[in-house]
Amino acid sequence: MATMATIRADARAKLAGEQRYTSDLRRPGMCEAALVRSGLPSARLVSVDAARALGVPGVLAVLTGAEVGVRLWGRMARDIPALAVDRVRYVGEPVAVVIAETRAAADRAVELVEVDYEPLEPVLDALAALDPTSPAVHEQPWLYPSAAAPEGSHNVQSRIVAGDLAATEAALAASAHVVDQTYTSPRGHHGYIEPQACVAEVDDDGRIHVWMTNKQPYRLRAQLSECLGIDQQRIVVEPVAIGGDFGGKGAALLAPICVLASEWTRRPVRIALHYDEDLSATNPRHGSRIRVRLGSDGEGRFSALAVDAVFDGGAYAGCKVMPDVNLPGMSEAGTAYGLSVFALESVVAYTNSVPGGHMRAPGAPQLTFALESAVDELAALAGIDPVELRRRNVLRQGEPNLHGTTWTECRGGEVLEAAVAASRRLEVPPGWLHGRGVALYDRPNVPMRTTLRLSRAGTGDPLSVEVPFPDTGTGSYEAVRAEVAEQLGLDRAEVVVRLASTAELPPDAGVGGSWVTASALGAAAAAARAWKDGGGETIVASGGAEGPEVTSFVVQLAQVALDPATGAYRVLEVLTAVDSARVVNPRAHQMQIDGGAAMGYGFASLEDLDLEGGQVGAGTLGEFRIPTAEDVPAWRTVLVEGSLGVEPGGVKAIGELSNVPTAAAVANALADAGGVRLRSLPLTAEKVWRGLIASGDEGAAMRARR
Amino acid sequence: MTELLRPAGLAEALELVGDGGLPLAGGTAISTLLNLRLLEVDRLVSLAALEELQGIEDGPDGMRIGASTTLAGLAGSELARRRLPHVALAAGCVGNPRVRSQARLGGALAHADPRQDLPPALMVSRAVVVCRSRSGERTLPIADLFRGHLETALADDELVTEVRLPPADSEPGRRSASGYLRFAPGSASDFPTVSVAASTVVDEAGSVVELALALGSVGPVPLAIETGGLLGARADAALVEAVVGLVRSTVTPSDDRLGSAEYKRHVAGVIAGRLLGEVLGVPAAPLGDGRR
Amino acid sequence: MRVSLQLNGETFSGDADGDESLLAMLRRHGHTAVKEGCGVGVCGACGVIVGGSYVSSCLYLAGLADGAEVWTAEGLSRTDPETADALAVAEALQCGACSPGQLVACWAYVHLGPGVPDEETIRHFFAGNLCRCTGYSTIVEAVKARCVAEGSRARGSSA
Repeated sequence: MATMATIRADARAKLAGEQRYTSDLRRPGMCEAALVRSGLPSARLVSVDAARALGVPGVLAVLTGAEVGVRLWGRMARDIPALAVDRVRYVGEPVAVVIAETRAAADRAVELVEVDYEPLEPVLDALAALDPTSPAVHEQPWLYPSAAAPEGSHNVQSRIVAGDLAATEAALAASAHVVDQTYTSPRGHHGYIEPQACVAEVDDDGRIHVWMTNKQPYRLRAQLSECLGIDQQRIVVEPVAIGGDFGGKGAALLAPICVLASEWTRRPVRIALHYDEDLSATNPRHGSRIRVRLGSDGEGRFSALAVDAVFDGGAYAGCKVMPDVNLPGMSEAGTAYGLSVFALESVVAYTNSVPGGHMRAPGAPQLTFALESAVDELAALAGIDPVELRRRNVLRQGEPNLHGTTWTECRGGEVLEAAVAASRRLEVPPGWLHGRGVALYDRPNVPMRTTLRLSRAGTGDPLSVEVPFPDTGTGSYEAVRAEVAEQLGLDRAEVVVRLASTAELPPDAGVGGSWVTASALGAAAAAARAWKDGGGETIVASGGAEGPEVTSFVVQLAQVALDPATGAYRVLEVLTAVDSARVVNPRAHQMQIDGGAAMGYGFASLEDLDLEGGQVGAGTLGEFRIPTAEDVPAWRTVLVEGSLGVEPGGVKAIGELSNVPTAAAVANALADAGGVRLRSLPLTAEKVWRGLIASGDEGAAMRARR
Repeated sequence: MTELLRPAGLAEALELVGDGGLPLAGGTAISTLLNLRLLEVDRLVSLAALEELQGIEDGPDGMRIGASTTLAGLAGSELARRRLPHVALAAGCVGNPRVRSQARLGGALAHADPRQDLPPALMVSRAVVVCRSRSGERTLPIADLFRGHLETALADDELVTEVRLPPADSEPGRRSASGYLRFAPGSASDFPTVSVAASTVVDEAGSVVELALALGSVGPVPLAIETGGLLGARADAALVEAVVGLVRSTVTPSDDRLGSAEYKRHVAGVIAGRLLGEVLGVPAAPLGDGRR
Repeated sequence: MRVSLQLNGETFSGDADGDESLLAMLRRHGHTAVKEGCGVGVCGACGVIVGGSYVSSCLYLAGLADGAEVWTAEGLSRTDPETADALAVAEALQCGACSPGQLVACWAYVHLGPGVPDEETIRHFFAGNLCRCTGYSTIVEAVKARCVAEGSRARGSSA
């Protein structure tokens, strides 16, 4: 429990509603804009008639792609037009922007813009899209700047391969047991509470100021610069708090349109999405279809792993950030185990649906659901207990993983044993079935650097620490505050941490990859040294993670109570055991674990954006159900302490661990309870019920039919 | 521009609605449509504060619940909890605390969403809906109010003003019981995949003399099950089995995000059986949702 | 239409369209302690107290609040610092987008009922307040602590 002295600096302002987020901002003379969006998944854009819309009182202008021209943006591959020109490629794609004195007027006018389309045949399924006879979403996607689409490919955003397929095939053929199964997961939304928003303003010197729900201000600046052909020095991304990220707030999205609207009107412009727009037209998690082939010898020792993944990338590749335009989690396939023979292929397909983006450990939850389900299926084939099978195969100290990395410290086995030792079987109601499932995951820490500026206005003023990365709420600012205070022998209350604009500090990676705390602590140590040497002068210092390179293991055990008559189940508990080094703020650390597990539970059991005819079917948070306080399982955590942290802070990343294995743990628990193996998320009661009927378990099937 | 009118009394409200104003009860459903930019309206007539539509009373002729009673008011009413515990329970299941303190009984009925919690509970208590327009008043058995998905028998100028319920069964030796059960296996805050309400009276000899059963989410309207053929039967497991079969052969669910028609039909039988078993005191599978 | 009300104990007067929500009107007039989340009444970020009733301001028409007393997190955190303290001490927040709504919900739970420090009752009530960050444990803990403090004060004052 925090004491009054250590309460987070942002707590009171956030609770009282004083913390300003993008949509709370009001600039003098600001107008509001709203987007006209495509109602078709694929069509030629024939004409846009704004005459009626312009007649709505308060409407200032309606801009279309024809007026602003082809303005492409992207986090890596630059293939997303700020406004559609000639073509629309998904339901929800921005076709025009209405600028008005009020949001209500803009919203009203949006309904009156008449768009004439010539419908084209859409391709809505990733596998179908890869068939060369399907309609092409883009003519020559490899020509886009920084594209990863192979030349001559058909509807491929990215294709990566790794390992040795021939050796893997041979090893699988020689294995005593082989699982060969395919697992799927739907599109999912981040479920942050703050919808995406942007404010843009051009000042008298022609400098463009942008406030946005974006966690990577310098990268946003670069995206805007590339898209609009404006020098980076003319763009200032201004500080503002972010109401939840989870990976969804890294893309430029609304920013190019907002800037164009502001330039057009010569007034500040705000675009604040309604949540239904955010659900259907931002950058959700990719739907997946992952085939896993896993072999073992007679004693259950893994012989080879082949993973074939196809992700639904949607209509544009530009919301992904890696140079290969794939999902970074795919590189973690099989790394938790002692395996040397493997083959990986990961293809992201273009389809006529909302563009896929990054969400909390991008790719890893989908992959781990597939992989850790397959491990349990292999356990069943080999007649070995699932925990025992993992015990036999988990990567050992000194053993290289399948990429050839040998970690200084490797604690998968210890974390597994800690989880099992802490687990207690929970009671279920009479007539209900009990099941327990296990899943594990390891994720390397991403080493990064960042920069801090320390200054003190005058004696008696607090020490001001300016940082280049926004506050997404994780507690990183409090970690910086505590660390700087400690290093300089100050009381925490004497230190204030705030976000600098992009005009003030050197380019920075911003928030992502769970790297912030480790890099910020490194920078804090460097800044504190420089401050001591500087004699009170303002200093700017950079620092970051200095190694060693570490990975973190997490093991989850889920327990379920399953009603065999309906397939309904409750996840009674999710126990998370995690590699743990120095913990800067135990509460914030715990909430990363709990909040992650809640997100993992939502992915496992509830969440589905549910595409219907190319349109997102779950149009509101009343339909896209994320877990409530009433829905969530009980959380238990075992911190397996004493792990080697990243210097100089001595910490390990925590943000993207506990959300990853949950779906597999729940699926494995359901298999344990009722003999039902589900390979498609979310794990709904109806799927369980159908599984019970189809299962070989006569008793369970009989109860399910009654 | 939309005009929002707050009439001082029912007569004025009826005039305004008669002149084409859209009646606004608690307003949760209409505001949702407005926020989703799915509704444009010229004139809204607020009914929430009308004195004539308030109050929950019981008397020798039965019970009266004013149409502007909030769902929270219904769920928390001592009288409702004593006389109609299943109705109070159903009212307490709707949405969340904010929705329950804003949404009104009359609005909930006029909205006619077949997934709602209240209609099945009111149906098994033989509720009658009082409808008024400036040209007069009429009463409808609640089942007759619902004509289709989001469609009611209300004329454009007609309001639900109150719900009436018959007096409690007071014959000596008889045992009355009722219940409501919703099946929402995903998020508990979601609409039910299927819901069921039951009300029974069993005589001294253990025979069922009254048996009312109604379900939500199993078709375009909340559905009452015709149980006349089962009256006089013993309140036992065989009766519960018979009702399960009857429910499954009667419901007409359709596929949606909450489940397939086939699944809803199956589950309707399961939860109807469980609820009836509980209400009649016949041993059956537990009602629990697995929470300990 | 003109809407006049008591906002957090002070006189507020502003214009609103007849179909405008209380949320939109308050935010348009700079009262941004009320946050816009889902727009359909399920997330709770816009929760307010109107005339002693706990409602979603996104579903409540501004014109219907005319003449009423309206309280938002801005006012309640001032008049009931113990509720804000309970949530802050338990660190029942991260990004803060839902936090004003959680505070209003906590105030409503304690002062309008049920008010009991019972885990299941709290979780049922708070099912209307989505939080994607915390996993809810710290929020539930804070509400419990607030209820216990209120209960002991009530016992103390009646003794």
